[in-house]
Amino acid sequence: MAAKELSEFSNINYLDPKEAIFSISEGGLLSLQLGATFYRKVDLHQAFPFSLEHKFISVRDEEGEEIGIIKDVADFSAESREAILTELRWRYYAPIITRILDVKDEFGHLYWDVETDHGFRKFVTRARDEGIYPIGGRRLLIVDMTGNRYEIEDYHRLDARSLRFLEPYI
Amino acid sequence: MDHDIEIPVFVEKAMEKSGIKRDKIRSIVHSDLDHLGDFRASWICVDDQWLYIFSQTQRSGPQPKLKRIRRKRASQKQLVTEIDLRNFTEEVELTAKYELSSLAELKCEYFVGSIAVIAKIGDEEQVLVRGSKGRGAELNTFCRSVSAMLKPKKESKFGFGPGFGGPGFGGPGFGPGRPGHGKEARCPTCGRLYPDPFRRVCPNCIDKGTLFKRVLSLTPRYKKPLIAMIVIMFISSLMGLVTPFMSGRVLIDEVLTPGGRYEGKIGQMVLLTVGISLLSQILRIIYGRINSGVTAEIIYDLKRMIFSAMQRLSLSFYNKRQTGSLMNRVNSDAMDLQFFFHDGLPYFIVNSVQIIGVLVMLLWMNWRLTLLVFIPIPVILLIIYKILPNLWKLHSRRFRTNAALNSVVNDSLTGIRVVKAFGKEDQEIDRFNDRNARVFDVQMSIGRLSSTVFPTMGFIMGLGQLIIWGVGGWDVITGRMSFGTLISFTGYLGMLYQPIRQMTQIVDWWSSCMNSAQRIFEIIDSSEHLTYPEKPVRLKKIKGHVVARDVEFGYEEGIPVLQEINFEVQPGEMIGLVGHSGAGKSTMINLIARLYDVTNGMIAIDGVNIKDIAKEDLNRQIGMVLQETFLFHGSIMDNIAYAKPDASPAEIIRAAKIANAHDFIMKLPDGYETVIGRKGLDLSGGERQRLAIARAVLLDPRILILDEATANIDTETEQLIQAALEKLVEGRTTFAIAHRLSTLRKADRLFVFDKGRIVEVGSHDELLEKKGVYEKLFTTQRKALELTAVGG
Ligand SMILES: Nc1ncnc2c1ncn2[C@@H]1O[C@H](COP(=O)(O)OP(=O)(O)O)[C@@H](O)[C@H]1O
Ligand SMILES: [Mg+2]
Repeated sequence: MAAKELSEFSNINYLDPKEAIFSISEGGLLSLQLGATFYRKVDLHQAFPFSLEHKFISVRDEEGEEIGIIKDVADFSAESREAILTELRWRYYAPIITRILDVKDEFGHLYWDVETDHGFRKFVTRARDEGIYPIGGRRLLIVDMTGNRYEIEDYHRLDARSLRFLEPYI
Repeated sequence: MDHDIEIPVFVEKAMEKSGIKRDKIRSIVHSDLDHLGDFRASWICVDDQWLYIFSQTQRSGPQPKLKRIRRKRASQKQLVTEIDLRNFTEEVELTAKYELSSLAELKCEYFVGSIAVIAKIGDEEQVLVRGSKGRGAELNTFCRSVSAMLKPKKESKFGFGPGFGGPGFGGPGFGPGRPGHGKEARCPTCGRLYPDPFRRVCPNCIDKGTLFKRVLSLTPRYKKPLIAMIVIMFISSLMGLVTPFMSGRVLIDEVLTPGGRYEGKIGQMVLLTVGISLLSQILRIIYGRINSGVTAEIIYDLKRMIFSAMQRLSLSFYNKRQTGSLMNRVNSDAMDLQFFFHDGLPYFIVNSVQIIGVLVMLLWMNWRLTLLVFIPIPVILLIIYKILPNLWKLHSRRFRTNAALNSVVNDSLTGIRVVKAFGKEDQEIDRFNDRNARVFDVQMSIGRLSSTVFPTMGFIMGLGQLIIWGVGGWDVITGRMSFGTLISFTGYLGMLYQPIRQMTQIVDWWSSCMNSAQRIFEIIDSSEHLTYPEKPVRLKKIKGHVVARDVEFGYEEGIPVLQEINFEVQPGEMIGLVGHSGAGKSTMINLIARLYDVTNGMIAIDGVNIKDIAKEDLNRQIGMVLQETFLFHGSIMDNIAYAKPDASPAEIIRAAKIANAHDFIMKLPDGYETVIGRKGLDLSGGERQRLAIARAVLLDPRILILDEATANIDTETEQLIQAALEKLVEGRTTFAIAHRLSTLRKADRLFVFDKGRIVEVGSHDELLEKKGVYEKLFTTQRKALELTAVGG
């Protein structure tokens, strides 16, 4: 009996791309048609949000129970893929910083003024490099005091002026 | 009705245009993301019939240069809406409206990176607006208040006594009372974002003078020594000013020059100089002695104050902060202040006296020359303000890269067995090389920068000297100035740059000190104590009737842990709380004991809202036995009598007997006076548990709370404890949580918790028959027990 339970735990229940159809409802929420069952609202949780954004995504129902795991978003139909990616964008919302207009180190905090792919923005992070996390390669995740996230895809590709602002903290 | 809700002017305009009456608006909140995720402001507001959404509509043109965002001072009724107008213009329009009667509920959903406000419209759910994480608290408050408005008021199921419907019941109130409602988290004075939006303190604009006075006022008994210190410092820096004068003007012009006023009086000169330096040394010694005493005491006092303030704080204060980092913060803040008194203050006095004194002397001796000397000063200030900070940043970076390098070395040496076992030596070497290269880079940058900056600075300062030698020398030759004056002049000049440089650091220091002080006062002033009414209801003897109505609670905003909790417990009843771990059982009893206050709804004991019951009545009559028993360093007797320090020895023994603890205590060599923790004496889990029970017995509470009191204990001890508990439970209202469901057989009723709600209520037998959550829980557990029994 114990052995059987172990395998029950260790089996990953992958969603079959043919059977699982994701869509965004009119209200803007992600729904899932899985075979005959319809889930009005499902949540997505990335297992590896920094290195494998589009793989191993846990799909959970409103109660938080896992329905299954998306092995790779690429296996799904174009419509499903679109829906999944849209939902992921909201859930892991992190504008990409394209230009740094100013970073001031004052009173033990960093005051940022940046341009992102979603517009201009000012925010504050905690002192020095707290709040700036390297997430592989030259990618940086910046988390401000309120929990908002921003991303820099490759700091070497920033313009010289931006890089100069950033340099002391990486 | 709240007629003074703050609405931004441009939203007001849009309201006017759409024919919405501004003073009908009952609540408004602002969010900051549009349906594409772009930063765009929108406002949701409600009047009696409708919910409206307004949004910015006009994209701003391309930004020519860094356009400063507009800053508006808050006038009485006008909102400081710090919308970043670089993205969208002030143009605002009504973009959607919903009839309130069509909405069932409004809720806030928290994602990793954003927030969604979701409306239930009939059976459908719809995202109304999205926002960034910083908007969470306000959006959530708004959703709650609107939802409360939408729900028809439920009939009260239970009869309540006085105190019903106290503050916080029935959803948060509307209106402008809430701090920061609808406001961007920005300092209204200087427009800076608040570093911590929940703190709303702008480090730039805190009134540092007042703060400083308050730091001093904490310690009135140090007024005299502080003044003495300042006076001494003052005198001793004035004396420092004498030296260049003596060695130039006096020595050269008056002593060594034929015809001088003190010609040839070398002996007196030397004596005078020795006298002055002796005096200034003595002053320094006195100063040092007063200083070290006083600063130590100030910090001692401050820490004591902080600690006692911390004891009074509600648990939720600690939940929001990590206790460890809180303690570090407090310690380092206190250290900052100590530095300030110990070093900062004297530096400041010495330097300002020196700067002013030197300037006065220079001007007095030769004002023309002095003005010339000032020529390079702007350049030096420029270097100090613009370039040196970069160097300090590099230094701190070197510190960090070095730390990273050390941690690699440390890791792979402590884990050398693992490294070898997996054959990962090369990988470790790579890791090391990588970090090492970084240290090298930083080191190079520092070298390059400092080998440029300091010579340049030296040169520029030298320029000042050159000007003096040139112009001053000319003056000496033409007889407009004496040679001694020239020497004094250069001497004074040398005393000028150093304090200027230090002063720039002192400003920084001062700011960070006052920020530390601010944080300390925040703890001292924190309003996160549980508040007690001025005239609390006294309950001398609680009967034990406990009611929860529509209780809702979350440790963090937006993450409810308990929802829709309703129950009524009769005096003397024993209630078992069961459910998976994390279901909210412990949270429930924390609320009953009022370790936290409910977010919504209320809990009443004997018909009185617990928020209105006197603290001592509650503490004296609610007893808790928890899974983890915290024993203080002290004797067993003290530990048992913790809640009732005046208990007589007989009472203590009686309590221990009831708790089945008496026997093991008597076997200890020092009996009840055995000091726990001394001589390696430690008690087993079961023994500690029984001490905790004895503690509860001694308190003789009317309401007893047992949270996994018998977990982690072997079966035999459990029986002992179980027996003790059964004696204890009698005649009191009891709430018991137990992992082993069999321990709760005696319970009159079981409350089954699941995901923060009570899903089933009934006796053990009733619930088994129901074949619901409890039955499942029970069978799984029985199977698991059988399994372990077979497995040994
Ligand atoms: N101090 C706390 N701060 C934040 N969340 C907490 C805290 N204590 C418990 N929780 C959370 O509240 C939920 C209920 O916890 P708890 O009441 O301890 O459950 P139980 O006692 O039923 O095992 C869990 O999800 C837990 O993570
Ligand atoms: Mg618990």
